[in-house]
Amino acid sequence: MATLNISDIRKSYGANVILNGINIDLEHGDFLVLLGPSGCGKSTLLNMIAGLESIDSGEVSIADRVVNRVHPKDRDIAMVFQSYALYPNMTVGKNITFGMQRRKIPKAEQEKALSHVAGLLQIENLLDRRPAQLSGGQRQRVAMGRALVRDPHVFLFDEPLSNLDAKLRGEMRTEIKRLHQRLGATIVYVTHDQVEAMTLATQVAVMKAGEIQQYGPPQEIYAKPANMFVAGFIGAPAMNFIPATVTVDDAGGYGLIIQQSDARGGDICLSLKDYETSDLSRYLGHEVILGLRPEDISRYIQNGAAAPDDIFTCQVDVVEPTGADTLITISLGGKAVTARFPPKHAGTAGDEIVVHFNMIEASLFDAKTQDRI
Amino acid sequence: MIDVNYSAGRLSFSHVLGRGFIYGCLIFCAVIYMMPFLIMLSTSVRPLAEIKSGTIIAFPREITFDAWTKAWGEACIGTKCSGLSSHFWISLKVVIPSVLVTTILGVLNGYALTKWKFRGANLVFGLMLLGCFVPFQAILLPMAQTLGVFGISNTPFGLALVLTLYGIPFSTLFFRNYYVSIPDDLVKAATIDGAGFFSTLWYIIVPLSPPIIVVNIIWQFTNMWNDFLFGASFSNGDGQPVIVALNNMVNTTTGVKEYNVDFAASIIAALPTILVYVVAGKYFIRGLTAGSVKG
Repeated sequence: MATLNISDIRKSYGANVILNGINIDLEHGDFLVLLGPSGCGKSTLLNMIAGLESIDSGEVSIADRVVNRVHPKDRDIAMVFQSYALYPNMTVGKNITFGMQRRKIPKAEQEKALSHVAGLLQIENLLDRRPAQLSGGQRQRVAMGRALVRDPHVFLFDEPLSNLDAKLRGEMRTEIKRLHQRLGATIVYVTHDQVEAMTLATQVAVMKAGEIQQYGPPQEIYAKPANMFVAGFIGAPAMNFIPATVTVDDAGGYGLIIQQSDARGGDICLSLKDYETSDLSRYLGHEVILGLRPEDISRYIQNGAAAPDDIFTCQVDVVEPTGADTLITISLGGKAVTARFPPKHAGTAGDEIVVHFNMIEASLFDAKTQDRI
Repeated sequence: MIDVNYSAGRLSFSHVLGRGFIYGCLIFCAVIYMMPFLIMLSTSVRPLAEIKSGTIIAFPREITFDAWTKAWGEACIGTKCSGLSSHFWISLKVVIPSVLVTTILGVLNGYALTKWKFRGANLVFGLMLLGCFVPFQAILLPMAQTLGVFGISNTPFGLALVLTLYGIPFSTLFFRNYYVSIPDDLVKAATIDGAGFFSTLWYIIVPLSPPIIVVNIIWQFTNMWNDFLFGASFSNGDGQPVIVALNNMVNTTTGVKEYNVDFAASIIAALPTILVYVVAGKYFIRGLTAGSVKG
């Protein structure tokens, strides 16, 4: 049974297209993250699932029931807002039970649900306070409590962590993950933070300009981005994009040539024998974009064994220590390329080092369409 | 905030002089500002003989409240000599329901215009705002005709209707601007929680509104109580509100000009508005500046 099904949703304000044919299918217990830059339509999509915004065409069904024309309160959903939207005039307890009170649920049952949720979120001692007397993290908990107490079919989270400071955000992220594991609930979560998407999701939908660019498990989206937008949006520091030309080597295998402007070592040749798409004849002699994550560029240290393929010498431009890793900037094909080294490999700016490209993890993109090859 | 009492170093002569100058100016302005009211107050408790024997600006040598009782219950307005009291009640009867109705409609309008935006909501608001700028005298004749058609000319109800109609645009403006600053997410959350239009209003919006309700009540009460034009135009004789009656009383000459009675009557007529300011004044300032600064 599909818990949430979205088929071909469209929405536009006048000539301004907000959503252009969205399809999503969620099973019970899925954690879907809608990820994208602001203005990509992710919040609009969430509001449509909630019933707070009208749908131009297409269908939303929750638990196999089409809810396009169902009032939000009857959709069996609960929502956590970015601003928390706690009722300022009510105590925490009243905030959490307001929905039940509106539904005329017996007082005893309300009390039971309230104490259960308060225990779950460890907010028992806050129930008599007003939202103004709470810290950001506490408000966040109360907002989640208001959603949890409903035990709905689908939870909707609208950028719930973006108003918290970095440390608290990390803690609450873990907490949401723990809650999801414990409750096994279905969650749709909107964010523009790719770290939240990677850590929380079982499915990620990367959106841009009202369309889903890629839909899949987070690791797949990270490792095999469908196009350059997804590749650039996921991961920090971002994936390196290096212009290169496809060639054939002596043995008939495909390879890449990166033109180096400075004379040192001349052009760089990389082997594509491990690349997922074996037939690259279409691109032979054409320019493509090589996408390589910073962690897939490592420093080659000679250790007596035979030197692997795909190594070459270059000069370190900038060294940025971040603690656990050190970010190195080198120049490749006329572009600044970032690599992530363990601090002991980092060296100093101006050093000549030998680097190794892990071509097994490489992505290739069509230079014109920007899609994955 | 800057602490004006704090200054590094010794208290110098020029510092004391400067401070003295500032307080001097403030006290001078306060005295000038309060002067008319103080003169009215002192004159109203002096016997007429004393006023006539000296100047009008003087401290009372003998205090009597005869002028107040006369103004309230005996002074002549036209040919009828029963003071301001009956007109005072008429004013209350006209103003209190009008204030309540404009406040309730202001809440409803402001809420609907901000939280349940319909197509053309801004146009509707613009047109309502226009109502603030229609000059009073422009509607006198059509309004008199309308009241006549409905058969409510010269009644407190008719006058209340006119005042209410003129009050609605301002109330709408107040509440609409206040509600704009209340986050829409609150209404969305309430909608998902199962609250409809009116229960969201009642449980969420109204409990957040006291500051602006006070502003609206002070504004409307003062305007309606002090209204002269509509009162003079749409009522006569016994049905006149207190401000019109005051004017007529002062203009009714029976030989001598009784300054003490006139002044006492003026203070009586002004008392309710003063009272409203005293009771709710601090909310007025708070409400007017609400939302302009965070916190």
